[in-house]
Amino acid sequence: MSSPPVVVEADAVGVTFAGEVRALDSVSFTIREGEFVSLVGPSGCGKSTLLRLIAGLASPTAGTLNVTGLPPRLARRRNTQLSFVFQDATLLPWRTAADNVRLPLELAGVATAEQERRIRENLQMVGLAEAAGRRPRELSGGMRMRVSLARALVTHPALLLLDEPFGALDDITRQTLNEELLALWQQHRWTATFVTHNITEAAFLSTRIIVMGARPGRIIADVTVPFAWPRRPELRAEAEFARFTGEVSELLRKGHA
Amino acid sequence: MSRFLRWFARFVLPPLALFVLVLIVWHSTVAAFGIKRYLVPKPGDVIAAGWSNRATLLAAAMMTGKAAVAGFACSFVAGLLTACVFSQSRTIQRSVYPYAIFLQTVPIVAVAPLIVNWFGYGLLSVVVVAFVISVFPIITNATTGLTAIDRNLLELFELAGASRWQTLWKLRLPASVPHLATGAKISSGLSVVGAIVGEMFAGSGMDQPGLGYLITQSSGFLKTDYLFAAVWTSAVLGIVIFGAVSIFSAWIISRWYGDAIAS
Repeated sequence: MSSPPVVVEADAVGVTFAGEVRALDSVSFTIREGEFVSLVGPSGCGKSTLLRLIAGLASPTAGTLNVTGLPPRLARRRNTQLSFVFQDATLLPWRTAADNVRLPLELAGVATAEQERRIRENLQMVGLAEAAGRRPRELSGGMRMRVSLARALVTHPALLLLDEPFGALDDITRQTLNEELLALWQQHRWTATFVTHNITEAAFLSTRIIVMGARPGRIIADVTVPFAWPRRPELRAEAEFARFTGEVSELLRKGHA
Repeated sequence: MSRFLRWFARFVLPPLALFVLVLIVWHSTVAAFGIKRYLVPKPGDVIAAGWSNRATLLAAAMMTGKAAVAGFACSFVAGLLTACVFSQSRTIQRSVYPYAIFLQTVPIVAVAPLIVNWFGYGLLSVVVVAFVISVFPIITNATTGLTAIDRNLLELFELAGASRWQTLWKLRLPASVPHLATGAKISSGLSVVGAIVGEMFAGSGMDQPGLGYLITQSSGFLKTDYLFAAVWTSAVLGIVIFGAVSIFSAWIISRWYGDAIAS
């Protein structure tokens, strides 16, 4: 059995800000199609910077990083449909939920009938069919993040990048959204890179966890998550799960020392 | 109804009471010291002068209002277009901005004669003066609105492969609506000032005298009560135009975000 094609390949990637601060130092890893990889680490470990490099929003100052064999910016323009979910919902306040989801389709010039079909489908998918006509102001934080997620998924991305999307939400909402994202991923299996500092979240959602350390930002460990698919919400209560997250915590702590 | 009464009691009654008080103090002071009518007329004289010239004053206010609204409309369009260009190029913004400031800092009475020289005695010059004085707030507010965009939103558009034009049309312009509303409010008030100043220089060439022209004339003839009446009318005109623009902007903003009125 041949392994799935490589989507992201980082080779000795380094980022130095203002000639002084080393945000990332010699980072190498590979992400293959259908993987859900979490980047976990303390603040200042460059995990968000790494995500921005993959998106082509920033460029490495050393090494190479390719997406489907091309520099990210080129890959984005050529052939790789990429979606980015920001830490804030980043919605347009003057647009309704439906019209926010419409935005990427509109910018890409998708036909109106197809837009409507996909908006309905994706709002339903995140459980917001009823809220289609409401503005961001009239939605809760969790609902806003759902709209943001629907907007990212509506383009059927080949690569989904999530930058601590649930970091600003309360714990209950975060868990619910974790479960929803998990269910969606099990259905669609987009290649995903997920930045978080929450180990439970990372272990619950990912196929693999890349543990990072700070000053300079580097990779400490690359761990395959051992839990079988499909996963159920109850997984988080199992002893095996606690043991695994404990191990990852230990790795993080060692890297921090 | 009770909501209206409460609003009336909170926002209309206090300034109205102050106005009446000022009129009383004004009247008694003028009466007590026997101040000459051509220096300071009694409030009653002003009201009488205004009432007996009501047709002329109303026509003048309409004329001035027309010039102010035309100047304001030109400012809004030209200011917004300038800001759109600024938002696309920092270099252009840095090159042009000092001259835009010139528009704001040079005294309007100093350039008004020049404008009359170029555009002649009449409505056109008045509109140009109103435009020159009211365009700057639109340029600055619109430029701020078009350029102070949340970085993530700009990145969202970049990642979606949006063109410059799409980013301007679907992100920058809609995001700048609150700033545009602020600029429009300031600009509308200034356009009335500009129209009146313009009429003082070019008003003699208009088909129908405006308020600025009436003010200069009545001052020349020492018809001080009439002068006061014209000034009051100007104030009312300014309030009406500013109020209309304010109400309209508040309505637009509330519609924009789908919520109750944002201040």
